[in-house]
Parts: sequence; structure tokens; C-alpha cells
Amino acid sequence: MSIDRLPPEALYRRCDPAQLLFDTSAELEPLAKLFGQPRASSAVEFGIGIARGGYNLFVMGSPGTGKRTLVKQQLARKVAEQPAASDWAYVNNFREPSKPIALELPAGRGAALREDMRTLVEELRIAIPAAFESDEYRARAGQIEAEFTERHEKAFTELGREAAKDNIALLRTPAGFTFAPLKDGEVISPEDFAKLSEEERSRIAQRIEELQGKLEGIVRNVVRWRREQRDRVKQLNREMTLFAVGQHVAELKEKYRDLQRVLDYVDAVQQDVIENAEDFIKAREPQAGVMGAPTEAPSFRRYQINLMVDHGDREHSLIVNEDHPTYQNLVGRVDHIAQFGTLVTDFALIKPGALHRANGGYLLLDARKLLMQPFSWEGLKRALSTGEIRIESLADLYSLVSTVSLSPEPIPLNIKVVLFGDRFIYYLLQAYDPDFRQLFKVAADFEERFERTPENDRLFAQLVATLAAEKKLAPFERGAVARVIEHSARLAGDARKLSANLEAVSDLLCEADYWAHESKRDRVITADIERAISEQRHRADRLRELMHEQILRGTVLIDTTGERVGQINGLSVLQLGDYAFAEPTRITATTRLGEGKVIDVQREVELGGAIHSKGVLILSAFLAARFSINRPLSLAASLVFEQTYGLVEGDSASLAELSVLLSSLADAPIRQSFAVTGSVNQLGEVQAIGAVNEKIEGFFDICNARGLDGKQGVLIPAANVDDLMLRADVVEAVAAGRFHVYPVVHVDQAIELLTGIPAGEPVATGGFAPGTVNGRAARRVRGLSELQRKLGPAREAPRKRKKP
Amino acid sequence: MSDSERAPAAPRIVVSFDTTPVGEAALETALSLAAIWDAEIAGLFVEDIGLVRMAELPFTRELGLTSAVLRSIDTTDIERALRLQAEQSRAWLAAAAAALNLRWSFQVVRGQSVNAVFEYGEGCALMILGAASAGVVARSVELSGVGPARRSVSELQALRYLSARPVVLLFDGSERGMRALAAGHSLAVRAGTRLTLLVTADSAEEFDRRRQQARSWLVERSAVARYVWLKSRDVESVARAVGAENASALLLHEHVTPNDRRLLRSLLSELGCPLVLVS
Repeated sequence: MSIDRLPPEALYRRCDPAQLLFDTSAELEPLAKLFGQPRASSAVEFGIGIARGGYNLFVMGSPGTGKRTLVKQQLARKVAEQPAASDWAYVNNFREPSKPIALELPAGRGAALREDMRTLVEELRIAIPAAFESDEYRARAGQIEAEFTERHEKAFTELGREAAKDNIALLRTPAGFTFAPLKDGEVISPEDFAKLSEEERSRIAQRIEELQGKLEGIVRNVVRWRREQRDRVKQLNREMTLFAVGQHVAELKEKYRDLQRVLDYVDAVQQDVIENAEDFIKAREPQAGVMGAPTEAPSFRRYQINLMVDHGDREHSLIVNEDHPTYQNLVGRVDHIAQFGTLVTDFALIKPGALHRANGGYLLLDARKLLMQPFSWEGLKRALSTGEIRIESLADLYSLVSTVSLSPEPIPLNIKVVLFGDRFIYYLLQAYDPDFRQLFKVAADFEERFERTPENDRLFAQLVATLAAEKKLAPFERGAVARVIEHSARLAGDARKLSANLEAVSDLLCEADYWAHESKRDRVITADIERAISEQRHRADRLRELMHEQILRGTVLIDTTGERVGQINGLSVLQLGDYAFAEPTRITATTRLGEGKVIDVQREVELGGAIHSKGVLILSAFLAARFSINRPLSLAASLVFEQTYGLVEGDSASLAELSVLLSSLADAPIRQSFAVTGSVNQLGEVQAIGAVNEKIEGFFDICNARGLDGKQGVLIPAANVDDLMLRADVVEAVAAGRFHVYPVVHVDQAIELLTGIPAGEPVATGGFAPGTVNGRAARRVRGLSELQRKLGPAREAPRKRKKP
Repeated sequence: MSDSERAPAAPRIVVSFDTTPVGEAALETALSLAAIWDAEIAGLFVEDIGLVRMAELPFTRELGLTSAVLRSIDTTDIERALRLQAEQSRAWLAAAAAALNLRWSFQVVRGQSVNAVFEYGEGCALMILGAASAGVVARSVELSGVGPARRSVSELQALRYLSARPVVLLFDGSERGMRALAAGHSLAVRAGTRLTLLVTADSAEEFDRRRQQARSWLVERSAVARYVWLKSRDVESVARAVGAENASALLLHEHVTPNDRRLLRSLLSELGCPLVLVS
């Protein structure tokens, strides 16, 4: 069973610069739209296009895959064809100020109305006082007052004269009126009054009582007359105000005659101005302060237009990206201001949220940020479900404060929400939030990788040109572009794919541009890309270097020469953020008489993950099926990842584990110049694993540091060959015959290579040929079984019953 | 008691006022004339002895101005109310005079209203009397409850009473009558209101002559006036004519002022506006 080493060409799929038909990226047209995401692209197009309730989008995929870029590109095209959305404004509700009225206006007319109302108030501040200072008003007001004065003076005069006939005076006291008898034109003194006869005193008292009754009637009438006078003055004021206001309001109504709600509002304003004309007159007078503090002139805030959304300017986009989706930022809020120690508010303090700004358009939100903000998710769902934006104060809702607040009229909502997030969040919401399924019916799933075809290579080159232009980078030579494409395939972990991580590409381009600039070049060459990759690796490489150092110093035991029974080099990958590297790990196995169990020491001490444990159990099944099909497996084995102190997860070491178990059973030494990666199934077939490039490079670096002897190499699953995009130094070493990569499809291939002993095929008489690895292992298992039979089955010691 | 802030200097205007609308109008008139002539204002608050006496009578009851409720009243109540009114009047005068930068003084006296004013105003250029000075009131009752203490200085400066109605002057063509005309003209110009002359004359010719005399004087000053022939100078006729004109103030010179204080009080009670006596 011979295994071919992989040739250097199989270790790295180059991008031939010759296929790129340009000198530098500056010659290329920028990309009109993102490529490589046909599924997500059509989903986004569908989601944007369908105008039905609940068809909001959830765009999922790894960070940096261009989700936002693609969505924004498609939205920009859609919005360009779309008519402008309405303006929205809140205005005072003169009947119920706590319930401000929402006005919808065609785009651009909100700002016009705001300006018109401001102008109206300015004009009324001149026109109304002028009307009240006119001769006509003075004359008519004077007539009313004269009529009143005449009427009540007549009543008092007649009463005074009537009293005077009986020598009684009508006197004014500080707080009212009284009657007193006169003597010689003066109020009679008490002494003189006492001198009058009883009859006379009685007559006077009776007469005064009669007069008091009449006076009482007059005073009551005066109150009524005064009320009548006030009503007439009020009516006059209304007429004068209407005269002053009428023309201005008529012009305003003519301008907005197509908007009934605005006309209703203007009518309400007119009515309020008429009823509060005094404010306009007072506004011209200096106001006395309270306790020395200056006082504000009468406020005309109630006539303001609180323009919540202004679409007059097309630059005010219908695509709103809310980066901080708190409840208030999303739904809007009602602010308060402090006045004399009290918090007060009005319609002018209503602030719009992202839903208002995006109404009629599209709202882009990050799902994670949204879910992390208290009440935001519920607020968004409520708005989408009800189809309206209702501003509710959380403080009021939860009775946290007791201030006067508002209940603004809800605004109808016509919006498409696009959520961006991880798949994890999407499926979590799918599973646990029934509303989510109703409200976000379109999922756009972004690929992490896409096919590496010549066409896509060319588009990728255009992408490089687009990013370079956007970020104002130096032009990239085609060799540099080819190297970027190759690096993208490496990032994808697949020589046939390109990574969709645009952010990583963008970062690489920026850094390469930096190094080109440092080297005084006006264009980016391949060396700059190499430098950028190398520097990126170096910046993240501290821990890897430290671990290598420990291996090279012998602190961590890894052999790269010689051979040993029950000992093999596995390969472990460590992922630190977005940087991954691999290190060889010594795996050892021991075998002895037992009950068919393979003890995974990692699992026993709870340092093994579930997948790893699964891999080990598969080994037990493999051993039993291969060597002990007709009898109990009387074998106990122990597997240890030596000098590991953290969690071991994954099944990519199961090929190495099985090989080391076979080595122990067969007493066949394993060459330590090899490292092994790959998972196996119950049949011994080798299956693909991840991070194959990092694993090969991890072992190569150790061997290289110790000196390559031409015998060292890595066994990998044959299924991973297409993933290979190895570093140039590894490829060079392989080309020079100083390092090797072996693709294996079965454990027997691996064990043969590792031990140099034939694995051994099953023979017709049963079992395996003697002297082969399998034959030796089978013999050992058989010996253990016989020993077991001689010793008898292990029995549990009988329990002694205690007497009650 | 005197609250004078500066040394008195001629001319001096005595004003008897209170917190009724007519009292306010009297003060407004006094302030306007004082501002024109840079005169000192001598405020006088007369605690009418008639009211004190009235309160001592056994059956006295007061009808509330606003409530229209009858209630008992005694001397203590009256005296306390008069003191309060005097304080308010003083504060009001102080604020108004300060706003116009005028010299002022204020005095409270007890006596028969008109008599007290004449005694105190001996030798003054002007005496201005509110209706309450007569002690007998039958007109211009303010029931709105807006008292003078709440009036702002700016409102005082705005000539609330004078500007709304014409200044009326009793004109007899005499030299003193010309002085009264000068005062009336100044007052009307300052208040931005009209001037009406009640021209006393026994015949049409005399009326024409006196009217021409006044008109010539006014024309020189680019002013106009309305002229009303007043055939009879008795109190009722004057009061009726003033009422018909809806006067904001009536100016008289002392020679046409009734010598009989009772008549004067009677006129005051009928007028419903301040009476300005020009010496």
C-alpha cells in the first residue's frame, strides 16, 4: 500500500497574473454591485421589492461579508425610483394640549408650513396690537364702556337722589357702600342721632333698610351689567382680532387648500388667536418680573410646527441607519424642561426616532445592538405589528416619575426594516420569538466563501480596484492583485474558494498601501502584500512563538525524529480572535487487559468536549469490529493528550489516536518525524478536518526550526487536499524534498506510513497476516481475551445483608 | 406726616386720591401735570370724618362692593380699612413718582374731605380731587376687583384713564380761564386725547367771542378743541355737560368754583371724574 506524497503544485493554487488583463487596478472599472452572493442578493431584492406586511428582512452572515454594502447598494437603486416620503409634523392640539396632533404633508411642505406659521405669528404680533390701537377700536370700546358707566351711574345717582330727599347720604366705604342720615349736610353724629325721637330714629332706620334693599339690587345688576359689558368687549375684541388675523389666515389656507388636516389646524390656530389676542398685545409691553427676575414675554410656542421629518431635501435619505437603537432613539421621545422646579413638556418637545425618519423608506438596524437595548425590540415589534409609531414614555409606562406627559397622536408607519445579525441570533429568534416569524419573513443568508473561478478572479480584481478607489489607496499591480486573490483563498481555507470577508481584504489593501508608501512607491506591488500578510501574522503571533519556544526548549515534549511505540504527534489548532495557528501535541496510548473500554483521559477529567469524546468512542467500536468480532473485547486502553491543560475539542485527532492505539496493541513503533491530522469513522476511513493549512505549517515550523531532514511530513485526509494553500516556505521545502505532505484515505494507509510495517489485509482464514500491524494487534487482542477467559469474568463482590 | 423726598419747590400740586377708579384718574392727572411742569406732587389722603361718624351709628351696615352682601360695620373696621387704603395710596404714589422722577410727599388727614383738601392745598398751583374727596360717592364703581396695588408702573405711565376720554375744561374767557385752558391743553397733549371746552356764556355772541378767544390761543399751538355752549353754570348743568362729554378730567379755575363746599362736593359726587382746580 503505497502513498504518493503531494507534489508542490498541489499545496498551493496560484493565481496567474497573466490572466488579469491590466497593468494596475487603476485601469479597472469599479464594481457596480457586490458579487459572489447570488442567493443573498436575490433574497434582499425580493425582500425590498415585496410590499406586504411582515416582509421585513433579516440579513445574516459573518461580519465583513458585505451585508450592509449589498443591502445599501440595492436600497439606493430602489430609493432612486421611489417617490419622496411624506413630511410629518406635530402641532398643538388646542382642545387637548396633552394630545398633540400629527400632520402629514407632501415632501418639502413641512418646512414651508413651519416657516409660514412663524411668519404668521410675526405678522400677527404687529397686526393685532395695531388693530387694538386703532381709532375704531378705541371708539367702539369707549362706547361700550360709556354705555355701561351711564347705565350704572344712572342707577346710583337716582338712588342717591332718592336718599337725599329723606336727608340720607349714600356713602362709599373702603369695601362697599352704606347709608347714613345727614344733619346740615354732614353725617349726623351719634350724639345728635340719640337726641332724635324714637319715632324719628325708627323712621330713618326703616328708610335706610328700604334703600339698602334697592342698593343691593343695583349692585347685583351692576355685576350683571359688567358681565354683559365684558361679553361685548370680548365680542368686539374677537371682531377686531378676526379682522387682523383673517387676511393672513386666508392666504395660508389658500396655500394649503389641498391638505384638509392643515386647514383644520389653521382654523384651530385662528380660533385660539382670537381667544388669546391679549397675548399679542402684552407681547409688545415690557413685562414685570417676579421677585426681580426677568419674565418671559407671552409665549407663542403653541403656534410652532414641530417638524419631525423633513423630506424636502433629497439628501435626507429614506435609508436610515440607526447605530444606537435605544428605545427612545427608535420610537422617539418626549423631552421635558424644568420650570420653577417642575418638569413640564409640550408638543414642541417631541423628538423623532429612527422610525419617524425612516417612515416611507428603510431602517437598517444591527440585531445584536437592538436586542441588547431594553424595550427596543418590543418597541420595534409593536410598531411593526400595529403599523403606527406611538411615542410612549418608559418612565410613565413604569410609573418611575410623575410628571405631566403627552400622548401624541400615533403616526402611521410604512417601513421596511432590515436587521443585520449572526445566524445564531436569527435561529434563536426563530425558535423562541413567535412574533419574529410574523414580522421578518425574508432571510438573506450571506456566504462566507464563494467559488474561485476565472470570472470571479476578474471580479475580485475589480473589487480591489473599487476598494482602492474608495479608500484612496495607491493602484495595485496585477501581481499584487493576484496575491490578494491567493490570500483570499487561504482565508477561505479552500483553494477552490475565495473568502467573502471583504473587511479582511480591505484591511489587507490598506496595510499594503501603507507599506508601499513606506517604501516610497506610488503603486502597490506583490512584496507589499507579502509584507502586509507577514506583519499581520507577526502582530498576532506572540502566543504561537511562545509555544514554539517551549517545544524547541524541550519544555513541551515533541519528538520530530526517531520512533516510539504508543506515541504520536497530533496537531491542535488554537483560534485567537480572527487568528488561528496550530501546534503539534503528543498523544500517547497504553493498552492492557480490560473490558473493551478506551479511556479518554481528557474526558475523564472533563477536559474533553463532546465531539472529541464521540471520536474516541468511534475508536472503541472500530477496534471491537476489527479485532474482536466473535468474542468480547478484553482490552482496556488509555489515551492522553500530553501536556495539555485546557479543553480539547473536535475529532480531528481521531486518526492520530487510532494510529497510536494500533501502535500500542501491535507494539509497532511510530516514526516521530510525522504528524497526523484527520478524523476516522467506524470503518477506518479518514475524513476531512478544518484548518489543514495551519496544522501543516504548525508542524513544519517546529521541524524547520530543528532542521529539516527530508523525512518529516504531515499526514492529512485526502479530502483536504483541495483546501491546501500553504505558505511559500512550506511549498519550497516540499519542492526541495525536505518536507512532505501525505494524503490518506484510510487508517491502514496511515499506520503503514507511520510504522513502516505493512498494515495487513484480512486473510481468507480470518484475521490478518502475521507480522503486519493488524496481525500483531489481532494477536494481542486475542491473547488478552484468552487471558480474560482463564481469569474468568469479573464479578461484583456479593453484598452482605445487615440484619434488621 | 410728610414723606417728602426732596425740598419742596413751586409749583406744587395737591392731589386727593384714593383707590377708586376716579382716585386713580386723579393721580394720573396729577402725575401728568407734574411731569409737564416739573412740579411736586403732594398726595393727600383724607380719612373722611363722615365715614367714622357713620360707623358709630347704631344701625349701620355696609353692602359689599363685590359680594353685594350686607354686613355690620363699626368704627374699628372703618379705621382699619382707611389705614390700609392710605398705605396702598402712598405706595402707589411713591412708585409712580419714582418712575417719573418727580418730587412727592404724602399726608394722611382726618376731616371733612373737601375742606381738608382746601386747607392743605392753600397756595398750591393746582388742587386735584378724586370723587371720593367729596365723601359721597355714587359713580364709577370698580367691581372688577383689580386694585391699584397690582397696577404696574408701566400701566400708570400709559395714562390709562386720560388717554381714553377727552379732557374737559370750563372756560369763561377770563385770565384764570386762560390758565385753565393752558393746563387743559398741556394735559390733553400729554395724554394724546381730545380737549373739550365748556364755554360759559349767557348769549350766543358771548359764546362766539369766547370760543374765538380760545380757538386763537389753540391755533397758535396747532391744537384744536371741541366747544360746547354752557348756558347755566349750576352744578347739575355742569355735571350733565361733563357726563355727556364722557370726560376724563374736569378743569376749573377757582373763580368759577362754587364757594359753597357743599355744592363742590355735590359736583364731585356727580362728576365721575377728577376735578382739577386751577388757581
